[in-house]
Amino acid sequence: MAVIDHKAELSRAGANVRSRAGAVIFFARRYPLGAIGALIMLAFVTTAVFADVIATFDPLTTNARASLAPPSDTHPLGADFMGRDMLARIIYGARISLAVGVGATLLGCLIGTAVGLMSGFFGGWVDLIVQRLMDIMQALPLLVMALVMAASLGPSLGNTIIAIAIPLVPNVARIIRSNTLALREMPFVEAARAVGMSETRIAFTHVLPNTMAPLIVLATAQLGAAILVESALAFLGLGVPEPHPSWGRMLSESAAEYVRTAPWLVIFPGVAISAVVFGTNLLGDAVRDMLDPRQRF
Amino acid sequence: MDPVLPSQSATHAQAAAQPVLQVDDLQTYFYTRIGLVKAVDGVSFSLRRGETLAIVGESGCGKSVTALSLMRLVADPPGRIVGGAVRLDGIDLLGLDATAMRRVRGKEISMIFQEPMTSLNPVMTIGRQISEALMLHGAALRKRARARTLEMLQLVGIPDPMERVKEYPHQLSGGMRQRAMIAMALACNPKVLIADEPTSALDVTIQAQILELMASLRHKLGTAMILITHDLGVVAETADRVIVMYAGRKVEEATVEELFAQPLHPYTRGLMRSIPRLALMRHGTASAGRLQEIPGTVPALSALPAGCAFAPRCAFASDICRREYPRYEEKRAGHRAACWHSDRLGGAAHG
Repeated sequence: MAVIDHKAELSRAGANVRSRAGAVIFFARRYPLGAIGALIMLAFVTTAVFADVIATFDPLTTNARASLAPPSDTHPLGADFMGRDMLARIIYGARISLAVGVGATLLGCLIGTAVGLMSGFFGGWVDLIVQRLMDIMQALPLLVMALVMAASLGPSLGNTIIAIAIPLVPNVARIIRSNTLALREMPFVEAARAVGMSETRIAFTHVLPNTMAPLIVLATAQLGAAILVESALAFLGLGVPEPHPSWGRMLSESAAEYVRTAPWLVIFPGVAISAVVFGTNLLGDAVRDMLDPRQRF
Repeated sequence: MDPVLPSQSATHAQAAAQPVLQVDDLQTYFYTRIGLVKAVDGVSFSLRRGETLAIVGESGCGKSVTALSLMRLVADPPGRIVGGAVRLDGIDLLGLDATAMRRVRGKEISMIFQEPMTSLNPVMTIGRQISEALMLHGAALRKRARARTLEMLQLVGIPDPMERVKEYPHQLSGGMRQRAMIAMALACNPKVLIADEPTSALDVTIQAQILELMASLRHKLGTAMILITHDLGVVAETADRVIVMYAGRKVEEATVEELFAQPLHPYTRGLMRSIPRLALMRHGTASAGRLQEIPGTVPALSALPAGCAFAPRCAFASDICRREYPRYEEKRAGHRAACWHSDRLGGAAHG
């Protein structure tokens, strides 16, 4: 029989983790893909926040001489047909993607949680009507729904966020509602009633916090989808309007005309979108695994 | 901190004065698909200050529904309190509106539940849960609530309360969680504490600790207690008086000593005989050594027989039992029962 190294087993189980930094390293080892996702997201967020520090060019300044310049020392990722630096535009584009992705996810989760909690906790005819509305909304795919919303609201940053947030609502509301239905029957809810707590207060202090774990999992998963839909809307000309650089519109502007002559105009925004969505998905999977109660010990 | 009553005041002599809780002809019915279920059918009792009253019976006899009815926590639908009165210090709780009732719950009358594992919110520290109950009733502002929480945790015997307040329920053992539940229930110093099977989910050694704790708290705080249980061992150890319930009705009531010495209802006798007894099993005769169960099961509450509900399972049953429900009457001083044949029961249950 093999000799068991108790110390090694313990350290693998995380028994030696003392500091916060230690915990980060421990989780990075346990979920390597999640760590990669987290790094990508970290790079993405840093880029977005410090865009004006990182970028060497102004993303909106045109330069006729640099029109369609291929990647070089001055323009590492080339320049578009108006001579605007691609690197700067991609860096600033991260801001749009981040704002829309995070904004839409937060807004969608906020509305969805309110709707789901009310629907699940108070039930009755409110629940019935709300759920049928959610059914109708879910009948349309996220992108189609967002398209309709964006087209009717008109192009602007705020409207894009709303257009993507609303279609997210049914997903969130569903999850929160089903969790609420189960939580509502828990003995601790009965115990809260027995100490004299009102129903509304029980809903907010006892039920809502218990739905946060599945909500976080859903939110990280939806973040990628929201960023992707933003790109798609921008590609179709319904997203954040000119002159703000959006990865999706950078693609659409160049795809048809320049894909042969200046492929860098298509490749780099495409890579940026893929990388970020890939990062959110990896991170989302790791978060799901971490918060899964069956794997907690 | 509330004044601690002198420990002797909690016991019988002085407590006889006036009841803190008076329940009259309580009726809680459930309207279900299989028909009307009279889960509690005309139950009356009174509870004196500092007294412990046990309500015993098999599962489904209506003891938990009685407890929930006192708190007005019966789920509606399907349940509804259709009649009777529950007077707490003279105020009829059944007449209060929802808001007023909420102010009573947890402050005047508290409850602890069977499942310490799931009766605490898993994502909230126990300190917050207790202080929340306190602040809810305006008993204390945040800072005072914290101090009182620590005090309560200490009172229920949780070691190292300064550390424990910050812990989540999953970090505590079952016994510790039940202690925390008790601390929460008693935080506002209620007049009445209802304990619904408080020890059933705990293992035996912990059971004894919790019962001991509850007894000592009763002496310290002077809280009257209703103890709901199916465990006659628990009853013998902690209660002053006992009510035996069967099929939604009260069938017998007496002091603990009286009841164990001389049960006057065949059902009570059956319950006592079904407790395993070590001494008898070791060197009793074959018949005494065997555990005697009560034959049959509790009848469906939706289809009770015409006469005495226990008649189909009763060795003493005669025609009158099947025809007419026996009067609930005083058979001996302070000992009431509902049985046609109490006089034939004679002799102690523990033969």
